Amino acid sequence: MDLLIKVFADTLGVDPATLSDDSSPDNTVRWDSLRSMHLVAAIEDAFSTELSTAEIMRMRSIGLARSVLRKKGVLDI
Amino acid sequence: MIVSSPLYLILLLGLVVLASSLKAGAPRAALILFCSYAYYLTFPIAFFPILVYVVAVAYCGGLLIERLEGSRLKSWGVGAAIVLCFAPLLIYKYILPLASTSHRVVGIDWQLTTQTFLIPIGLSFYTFTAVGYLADVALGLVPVERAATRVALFCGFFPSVTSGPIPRAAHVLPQMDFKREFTAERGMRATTEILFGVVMKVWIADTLGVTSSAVFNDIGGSSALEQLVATLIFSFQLYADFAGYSLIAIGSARLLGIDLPDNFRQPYLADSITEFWRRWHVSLFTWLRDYVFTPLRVRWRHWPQLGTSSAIFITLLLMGIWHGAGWGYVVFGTVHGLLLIASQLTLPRRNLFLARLRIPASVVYITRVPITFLIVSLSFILIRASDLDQASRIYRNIFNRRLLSELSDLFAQVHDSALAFRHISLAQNWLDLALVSILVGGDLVARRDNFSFLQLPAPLRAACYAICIFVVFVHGVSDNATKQFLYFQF
Repeated sequence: MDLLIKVFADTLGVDPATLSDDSSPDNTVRWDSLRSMHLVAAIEDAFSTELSTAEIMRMRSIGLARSVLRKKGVLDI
Repeated sequence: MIVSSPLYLILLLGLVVLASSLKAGAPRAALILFCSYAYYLTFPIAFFPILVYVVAVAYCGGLLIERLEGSRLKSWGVGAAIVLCFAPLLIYKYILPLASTSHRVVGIDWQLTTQTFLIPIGLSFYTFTAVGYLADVALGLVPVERAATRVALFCGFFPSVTSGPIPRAAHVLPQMDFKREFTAERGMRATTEILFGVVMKVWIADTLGVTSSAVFNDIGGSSALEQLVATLIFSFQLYADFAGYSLIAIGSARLLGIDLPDNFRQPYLADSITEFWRRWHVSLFTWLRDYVFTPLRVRWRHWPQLGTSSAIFITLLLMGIWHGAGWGYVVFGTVHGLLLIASQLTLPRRNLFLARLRIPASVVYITRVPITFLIVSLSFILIRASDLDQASRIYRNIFNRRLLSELSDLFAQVHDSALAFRHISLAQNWLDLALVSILVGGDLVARRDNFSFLQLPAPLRAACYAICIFVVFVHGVSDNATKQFLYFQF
């Protein structure tokens, strides 16, 4: 399974099948602003990286999170 | 010209026909750009240069941010562009009203000042649109826009320029080439949105407004029970008014091929204050979430609880102040900030407690919804009252034994209900109840899907359309200055 989707699914407590690169806080009920920080911590742990404020602000969907991680050199996602 | 006026609806129809006859792309965009700014000129002409200024700052600021990419000066450039964009909002909405208040304090006649400093219509909305664009360019979420006309259309698009929904660059700017063709499906959905919006405004909101105005304009002469009823009615009036406007704006944009963001998602079916703010004025709250809450929360991430609570409080305080410079708005934001923090801190324990009691989730939900609505309604007194003094008088009356005695007298039929309801007639009470039921019923139907209405059987839909058109004809579309949209003032 896609590791990034798995991180999102585990943190939000939802079925991974319901998530895609288009998933965002606007169309994912459990992805609220309070859980966003749990997501950030989970992503940083899973990909051994540290995200800046601007990078976190860019992560408005799973697709955008993927693009941020790729730009940081995380290639295996 | 307001969007529920007959002239607006006729001109919109003409524009859709004309735009559809033009070639998709630049010609259509040019026509809609011209119409958008002509529409804004129907408001006092003094407001026009301010809109043009904000658009110019957004356009030039975007180009500047791109030029400074990779430079150490970028953050200064972004900051300067955002401050310049916010400048008219700060001056017209906060500095001038506060200056006029301070004149009053020192005893100088300030009557002229308050009349001169009218807040330009839509200033908060198009400023937030422009600042969102600048922030997204700086974050690299949208490419800088090289055509000034597209930035002008994005910020000044006539359906959203006066009262939102606040469009976001990543979602709406790519649509500003107007290449989407008109289809019967989009037309049906858009027409339904406009029709429902007009009904919500001219029938539901304006009728409920009769009750709330009668009571709020005479707090000294109204009973405690009336004040409570008017407070609850005002909540539905505010919702029908603003959600009605949003639906007309969204439908108007859809007719021209543009999808604007949703602004309301059945807010009074929310089962917590947190949930309420995910459903009420969504475009403002998501803006604040992305540009205020998230950066603050990230900055304070090493203090999990304190950081979250502080970010929530500041975000909600700003949300309150966004409505205006009055103390009522400050207290409104503060109250909601504290409620949200309390809700977030206690939710896990409350859920655990309820789980131990083995109360079914549906019962918990049904109990929480009216409690949330009551809390929200009581907080709206801060927005509806003329000032904090009047708001505190209403709170003292409502949270008083007088209300209980009026209620018990009413139920015991000790005396005629006319004593408890001096400003609201029995017929008006029943009418208000019917309108509120329609509003809540509509939200229950739309609970799973915002547009499940279009999936209803055709005869049922036809009957709904016929009733709506009849209601609009009977009540007349609103073109009266006294029936302006409540959110125009913000």
